[in-house]
Amino acid sequence: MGRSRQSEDREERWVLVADRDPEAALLLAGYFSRRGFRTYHTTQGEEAVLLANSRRLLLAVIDIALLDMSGPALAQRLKEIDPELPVLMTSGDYAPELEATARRVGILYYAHKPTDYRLIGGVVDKALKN
Amino acid sequence: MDRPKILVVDDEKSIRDLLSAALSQWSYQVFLATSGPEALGMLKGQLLDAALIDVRMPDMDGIDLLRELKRYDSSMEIVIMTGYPTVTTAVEALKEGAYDYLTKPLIMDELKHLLARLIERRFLRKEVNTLRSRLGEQLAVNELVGVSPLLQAIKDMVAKVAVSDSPVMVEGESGTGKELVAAAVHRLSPRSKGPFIPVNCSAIPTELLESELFGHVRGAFTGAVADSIGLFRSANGGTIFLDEVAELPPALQVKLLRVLQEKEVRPVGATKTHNVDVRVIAATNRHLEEAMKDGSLRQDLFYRLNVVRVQLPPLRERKEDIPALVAHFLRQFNQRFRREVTGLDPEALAALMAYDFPGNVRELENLIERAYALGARDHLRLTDLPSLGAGARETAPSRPLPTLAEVEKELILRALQVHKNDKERAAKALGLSRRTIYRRLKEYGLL
Repeated sequence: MGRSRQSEDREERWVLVADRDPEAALLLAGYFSRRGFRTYHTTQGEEAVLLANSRRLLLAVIDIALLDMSGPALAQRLKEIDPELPVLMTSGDYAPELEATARRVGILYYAHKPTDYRLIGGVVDKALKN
Repeated sequence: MDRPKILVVDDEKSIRDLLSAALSQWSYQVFLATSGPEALGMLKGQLLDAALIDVRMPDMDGIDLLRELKRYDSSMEIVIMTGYPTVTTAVEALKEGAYDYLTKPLIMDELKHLLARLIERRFLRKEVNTLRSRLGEQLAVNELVGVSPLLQAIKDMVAKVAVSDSPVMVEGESGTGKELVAAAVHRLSPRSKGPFIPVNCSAIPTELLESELFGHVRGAFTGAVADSIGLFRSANGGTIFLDEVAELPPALQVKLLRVLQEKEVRPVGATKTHNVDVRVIAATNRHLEEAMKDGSLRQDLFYRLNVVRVQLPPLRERKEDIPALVAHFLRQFNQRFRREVTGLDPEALAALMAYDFPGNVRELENLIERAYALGARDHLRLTDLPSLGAGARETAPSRPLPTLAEVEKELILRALQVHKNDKERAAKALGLSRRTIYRRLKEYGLL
């Protein structure tokens, strides 16, 4: 039996996790790894852009702020490379204006921290199925 | 990055000295003023990031100075300091747009963290403004590409509907560019300076759709750790594009209808509603009348959204647009992949023109992107489009397969044409006997 498109995607494309907090990035990347995704985590936006230019991304989970740029700025750069990339954004700052900023880049989902893995998992599953 | 610039305004020398030393140590560039008028004089010709202002000063009080500073540069973050805290002053300061209110004696650790947060937020805001202008540019570049009369009619329609504020319904197969049309309507509309937010309703889990669209309050459901404003309020002053609107569950369609009628949203778990000023453009890849018939799209919502309908033709119905689209994508991918592909071979173009593109413009874009990924450098050749070989043989679903007899008749006619009506040579080329070709010609009425 051939592999499904979804399982091929999981094996061949990368899930990018970008968070200025290295521990948070590692934890979230671990969650995706355990679910069978190839993951890459970073605290730097420029490093994330380099990855997106050299590998096909399956989806990106980005925090509102990274060490060298904001989350919305990284989301925009990734969308310029692949306009259809599903981007989820997380934020520990609950300011409404930050949420509006993030949503205006055209992200798929905006989640407040602490990250609820069940919600994130549901969004990712639906997005990939779609 | 330059060091953030912070203005300190206080008539007490000891406070100015203390703050000057601390802020310099925390790597800020410090500007000191003893009064409001002196502070305002320092603003000429330079933009400061933040100001720490004492409330009680002889010439001009801190709240008046706050007002003046905000008038000069509304994005400057201002923190008010006071040795005589009162609720009235605190409320007034925050109402006038102060970032925070600190009481003296200052706790230096608290001030350090507050400034760090404030500068970070300012840095984010600056980037947002840059992003806004870049998004505008991107939309301007992503014109609707093509030369066909069908596309020209759509461009004319877009220009006409953009100036009104009515809802728009865009109908078209997947990959025909519904989002591009919605973005073009937004860009040409009086709302173009506001946000444009595209939402794919079918990509969000059903149980989260309502909170995504209308927001939620803290504690509304497990995982709702803070208030969320949702997509509609984020799009305030601009346009929201609801793709795959027929995928919304019926209960949510009712709520969407109410939002369109009342122009207000109620976040999940909230009792209060919020006014919204948003233009809605909706789309579906299904036939609208069918979607209503099978109940997936409520009739009342359809009529509310369908004030103007834009129908996008599939690419197979406007094949004359393929060369222009190819040129557009080559320019785009040359820039992204830093290549200099100057065109494509006639065989490759002929194959593209012969293909029916069930995935429409998006499929064409993917085909060309794949050619770049496979290493195309100067010219795209047919071999750079490997999936086209198989794909081009696919026919549109609406076109029935020809019968064997039809194919055989076509082949015989072509052989006769090539061999200038010489039946014996045509028969030989096709591997048929002389008798068989005559029999077939008779059968097909060609003799």
